[in-house]
Amino acid sequence: MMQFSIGVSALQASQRAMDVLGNNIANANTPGYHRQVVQLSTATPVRLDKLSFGRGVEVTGVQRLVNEHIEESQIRQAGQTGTSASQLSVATQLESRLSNEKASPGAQLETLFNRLEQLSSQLNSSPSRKLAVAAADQLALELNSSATDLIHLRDDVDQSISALVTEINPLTQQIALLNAEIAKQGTSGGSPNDLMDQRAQAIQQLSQKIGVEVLKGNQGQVTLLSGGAPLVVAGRALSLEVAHDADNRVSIRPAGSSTDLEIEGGQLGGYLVARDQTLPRYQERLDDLARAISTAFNSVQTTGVGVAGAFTNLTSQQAVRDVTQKLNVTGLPTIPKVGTVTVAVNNVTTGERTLTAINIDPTLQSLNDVGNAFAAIPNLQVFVNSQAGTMSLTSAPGFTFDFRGDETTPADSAGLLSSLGINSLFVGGDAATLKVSRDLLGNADRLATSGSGQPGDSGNLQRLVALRDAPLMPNGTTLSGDFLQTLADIGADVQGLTQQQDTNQVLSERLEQQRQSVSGVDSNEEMVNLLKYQRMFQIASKYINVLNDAYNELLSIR
Amino acid sequence: MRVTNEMQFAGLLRNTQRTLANMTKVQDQVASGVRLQRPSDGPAEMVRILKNRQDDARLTVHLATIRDVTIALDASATALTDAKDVLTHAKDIALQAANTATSDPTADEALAQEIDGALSSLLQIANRKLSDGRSLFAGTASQTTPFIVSAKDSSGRPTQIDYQGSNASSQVLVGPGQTFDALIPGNVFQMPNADSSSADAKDAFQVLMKLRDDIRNKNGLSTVDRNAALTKHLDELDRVTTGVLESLATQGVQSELLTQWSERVTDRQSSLQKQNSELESVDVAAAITELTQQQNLYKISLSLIQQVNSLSLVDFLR
Repeated sequence: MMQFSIGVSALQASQRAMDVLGNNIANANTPGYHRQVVQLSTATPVRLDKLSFGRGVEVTGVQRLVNEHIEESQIRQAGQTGTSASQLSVATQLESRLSNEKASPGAQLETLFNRLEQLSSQLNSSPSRKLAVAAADQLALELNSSATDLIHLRDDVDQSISALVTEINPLTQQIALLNAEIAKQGTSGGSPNDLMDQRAQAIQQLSQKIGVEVLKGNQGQVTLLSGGAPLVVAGRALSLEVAHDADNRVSIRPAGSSTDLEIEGGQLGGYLVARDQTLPRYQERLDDLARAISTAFNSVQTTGVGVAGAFTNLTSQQAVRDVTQKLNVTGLPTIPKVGTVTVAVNNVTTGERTLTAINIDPTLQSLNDVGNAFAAIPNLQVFVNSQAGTMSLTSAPGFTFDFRGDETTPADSAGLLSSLGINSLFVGGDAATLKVSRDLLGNADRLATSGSGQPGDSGNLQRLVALRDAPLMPNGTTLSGDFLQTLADIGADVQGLTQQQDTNQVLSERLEQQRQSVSGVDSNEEMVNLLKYQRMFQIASKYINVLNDAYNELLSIR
Repeated sequence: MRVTNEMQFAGLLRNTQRTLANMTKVQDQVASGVRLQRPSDGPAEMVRILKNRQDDARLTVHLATIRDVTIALDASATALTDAKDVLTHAKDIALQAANTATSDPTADEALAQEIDGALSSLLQIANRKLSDGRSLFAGTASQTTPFIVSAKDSSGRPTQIDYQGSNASSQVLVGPGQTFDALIPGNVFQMPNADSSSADAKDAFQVLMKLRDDIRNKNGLSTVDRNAALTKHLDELDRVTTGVLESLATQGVQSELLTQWSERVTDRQSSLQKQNSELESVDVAAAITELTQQQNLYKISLSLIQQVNSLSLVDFLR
């Protein structure tokens, strides 16, 4: 009765084939699904009287159609796409925060220079002076605000990093579980195609987030590496955690470990590059600009006088940490250089002007020492406030003082006045802390427009305005030019990353097309195959019917 | 290559989205009229646009300072013309006094009083201020009244007028490193090439005071000596008038230069604005054409989705 079993094998094979086709059709739109084909083979023949007779058909397996090379490329590509996407996201935010044309440090710097130039024709106009000082104040505020924006952006990136880690851990655990299950089914002779699809899909998602390298293991298992660490090995997943350092910066490390992972791929790698390289680079450029603005304006402001002329009393606005500590180690944002500062004491009645040059060496002198040197000048009293860390200069009655120097004596080659904030325009150092001196905010007439002490003298104002076109930045650009260059660099960064992202997108699409070409379900193809196995089923049924009729004929013989 | 339905749909969707994105970008450009909206749209061009805008704003400030200088120059030119008129009138009086054969105290007093009036007018002119309170002829000491009467005689007539201002001009910025003298020092009223060691008049005020005294003959000079003194004062008046006229000419030259400078600034500003317009404005015709193309592509993509969807083997099976 071998003929019946042949017919049954054909019926069974066509049913299994139609099962697989049905599964393909059902999963035609399932992300990550790989089409499957049933593998048919002839059953082991039997030998009768030296002759070999076929015993029908048998299903030897269900094959998952996959091109490993394309899949590996896709995993790598997912990591790269993730990296450029997160970098682009940060760079775009940076661009939008710094490129506001009306309210950026660059725009305010231009406003300040415009108001100073305007002031040259309205030297005794108090409102014009106030407007100029207000523009300086606004410039400081814009720099503060930009620095804060960058800090907020860094905090946002840190939050994104933490959120990604919480998404990565369940994925690695899922992959480890699938690994174990695949190994188990493989050992028992099954074909865990659907589990492999699930795992491939999870690896793809994981790679987009953290960028992984896939190594093939035993029994269909895979090992995933990232940042030099084994994220998944067989059925075990490495749990990651976010650690906070002293600056409240987050880093990623294996749970329970104290060593940070050097993640370079995926969104995580992109965020880390943005946080540790891109943002600090622009932060530094803003700080450099703030310092250059402060140094340049202060060096002119401190060595001029306002419409009110020379001073009778000045107090330093930049406090030192300890009046007995040397000036280079006592927390001043800008440290004075070795040089001299020239103090002029003027006799109001006779007009006599006495110049005294004081030598400054920040490595040898504390604020107290500097105070003592000033105190030695006749008709000038000095008070060093050890509590506040400041120094006050007061002239004797009938005398005034200033730091204008003269043609032969440099006024402040040490930069001491600027450093201590004595008659300076700005105090503070970097972009986050730059402020306009309270003295100037309270009394705009102190804006040093005059070189000679005459209210109509625009000599010092011309020096202030000359800063506009001076190549004050290290690369030989002007202050405004430097900010424009920063904008251009951010623009170029965003443009480059956008192009990179577009390229990554196209590559991902092409790889997905190639994958689909091998593993995708074509409904027409499935339909044709369905018809083929339907026919096979029909013919096998007919064959059994014929056999049945034949045996019936035989059995009806009486 | 094996093509699946999902590939077809994914491709159609991708292309539709791409066309839509391009269309939105062109629409934004047409609606705003601006081709570049952020640095990443064209870093180098954007920086150029921003720099041009900054320069444009700066030139606007320069035009404002030029206007201020022009006002000051016009005011000082008017004052110098008035001063010249006063000195010319004083010369007429001096001529009248010198041409009188015999001294008539009543007539001389009338003439001397006229000179007193001229002196007072000249002092008023020399101390003229701009509407914002700055003195025209005090140089950088712009808030000081430049000429003050430091001594008077028993009749209250000025006998000494001193200069309190500065000897440096107050300069105004009208361009990068470019300054103009807006407020000049009071030395415009000084006697050109005066001999500092002699007792002769050193400035217009002293000339008028000496002339006034000699018309009154306060020093009791003989007719011949008085006439010689008056003739000398006539010469002195000519010299100070020449000084004032020279200053007036200098002011005229400055005004002319300022006008030329102002024209250059305006030209430069127009050129910057034109450059920016070329750099950032949308070529509307090209943009509309592009928009129409994108719209057509979009329509085709949408209709393709419908067509692809309508073709399947299932439709041909019975």
